[in-house]
Amino acid sequence: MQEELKALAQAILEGKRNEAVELTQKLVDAGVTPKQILDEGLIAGMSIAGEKFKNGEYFVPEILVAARAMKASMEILRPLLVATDVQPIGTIVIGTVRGDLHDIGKNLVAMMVEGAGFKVVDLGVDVTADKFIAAAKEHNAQIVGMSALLTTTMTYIPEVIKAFDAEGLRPKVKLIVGGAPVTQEWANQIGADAYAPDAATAVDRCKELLGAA
Amino acid sequence: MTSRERVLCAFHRGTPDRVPVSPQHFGRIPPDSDLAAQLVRETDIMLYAGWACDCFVGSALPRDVETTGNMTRTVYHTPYGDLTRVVTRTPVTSACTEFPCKNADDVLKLLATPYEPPTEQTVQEALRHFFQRKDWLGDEGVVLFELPNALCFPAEWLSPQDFCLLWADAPDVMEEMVRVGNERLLAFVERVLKAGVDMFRIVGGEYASTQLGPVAYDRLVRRPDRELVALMHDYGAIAYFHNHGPIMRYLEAIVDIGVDALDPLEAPPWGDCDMPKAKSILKGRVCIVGNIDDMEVMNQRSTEEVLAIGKKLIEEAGPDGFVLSGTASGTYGEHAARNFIALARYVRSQM
Repeated sequence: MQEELKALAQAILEGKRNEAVELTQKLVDAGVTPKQILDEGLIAGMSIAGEKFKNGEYFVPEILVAARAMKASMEILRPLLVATDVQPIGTIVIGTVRGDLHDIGKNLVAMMVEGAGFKVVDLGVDVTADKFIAAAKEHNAQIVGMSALLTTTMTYIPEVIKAFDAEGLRPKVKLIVGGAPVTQEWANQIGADAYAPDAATAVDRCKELLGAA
Repeated sequence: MTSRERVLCAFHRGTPDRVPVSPQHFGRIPPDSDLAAQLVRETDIMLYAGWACDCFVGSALPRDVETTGNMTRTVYHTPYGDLTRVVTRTPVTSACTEFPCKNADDVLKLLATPYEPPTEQTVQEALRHFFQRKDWLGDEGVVLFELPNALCFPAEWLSPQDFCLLWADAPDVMEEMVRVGNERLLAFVERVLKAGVDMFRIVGGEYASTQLGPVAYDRLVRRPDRELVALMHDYGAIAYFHNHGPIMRYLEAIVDIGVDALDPLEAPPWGDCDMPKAKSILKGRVCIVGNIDDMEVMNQRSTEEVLAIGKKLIEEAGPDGFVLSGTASGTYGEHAARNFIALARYVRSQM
């Protein structure tokens, strides 16, 4: 079954959705554990995709089709993972902040961190501090990710950070920020726990925040 | 030299009397303010005007527009079915939250729709905007006609995600959309060239460079934009190219397109510009415009720091074929404006 697991990882890497689904079903039928299929097939493939994205070999289309293939395979695997009590490595609440309607960056991060084994709660766009806080509490999130594409909307991120502080949720909940106008320097200034310049790096930062890197 | 002569000399890769210092448009400075007047007087400002008059879909596509609350819904009626766009507004921005084309089939519906070019009235409105601005500015700077390249056609009609997926799943449809868009764009550009527009700012390359990658850049930007720039040059116009984000791997393609000038060549962490290396590739071929970051540097750092950065850039990128500028974010404020003026005074002091 090792060959089939490698083939599944390759199918994910190449965005071959139908092949990924077939191989996932084949592995399930052969009695391979859902966790092993997830770790050595799906996450393994997405992890290589993420490295290629960081290295400038893969671009957004390649990540999208890889994520699409993984999502299709997860339709088969998800109920089996639940049934065997396999837990995600962590839970992240993610959204684009209040006033901002752009979501491609946030969507890519959501796909990549899900592909790395996180449970993702995507709040969409135009998200207020209250909504971030409510979702973090409801889902027992370890991480909250905030995206802003505009200089006029990134100024809301410090307000969300203050709201989390006021709610007493930090340092238990870690806050990671990103988006076109956001920089490491600015993230440091406003007291964010982490910053990621792109979706692939966001996976690394999220794992570090959990101590799971 | 006048500001206009200075900038044009740099665009033609010559060595002007001094390196132009060119803020790009007024940023957040009110154009009728004293500070704006000082920018015009003391720098070699570049302004933008005009627009492409919806030339990609033209004037024959029937549509219904309805605004409810903070959303405007436009339904385009093609002979093969309706396509819907929704623009949503928040207190700080507006953005398209639903794009008309969701997939390759929708694109093909759009492309099969009968096309009529923009009406003479709409073209005249855009020209009036350009020439009024140009007359107002005179020799105190340059005015560039804002123009999307053909890749903006799919980028404006598909969501960012669907745009990327179209390239992955149906690259032939994407290429056809760009080809058709370019045909329509060239026809529009020829109209405004004949009307006397002499300088264009072409945008859209970054849809490929930041999202799709080098293969897409070659097929969807380099090839059509070569034709576009060649047309502009046939009429003696300047072709100025704007392309945000990491740019070093695309410089040779941009040279091949034949543009006269390129901005903003952002430095890390916003881009990847290695200025001495960029100059070695572009020298004599493309004028460099940039690259002091508007938001973090021009807007926030002290004048002494900005002058030090400016001096280094002049050494690395000038004095020929170089315009010292920001990074075209449109967000520079009063502090940045005063930094631009300080840079202009410094450059003048070196004459």
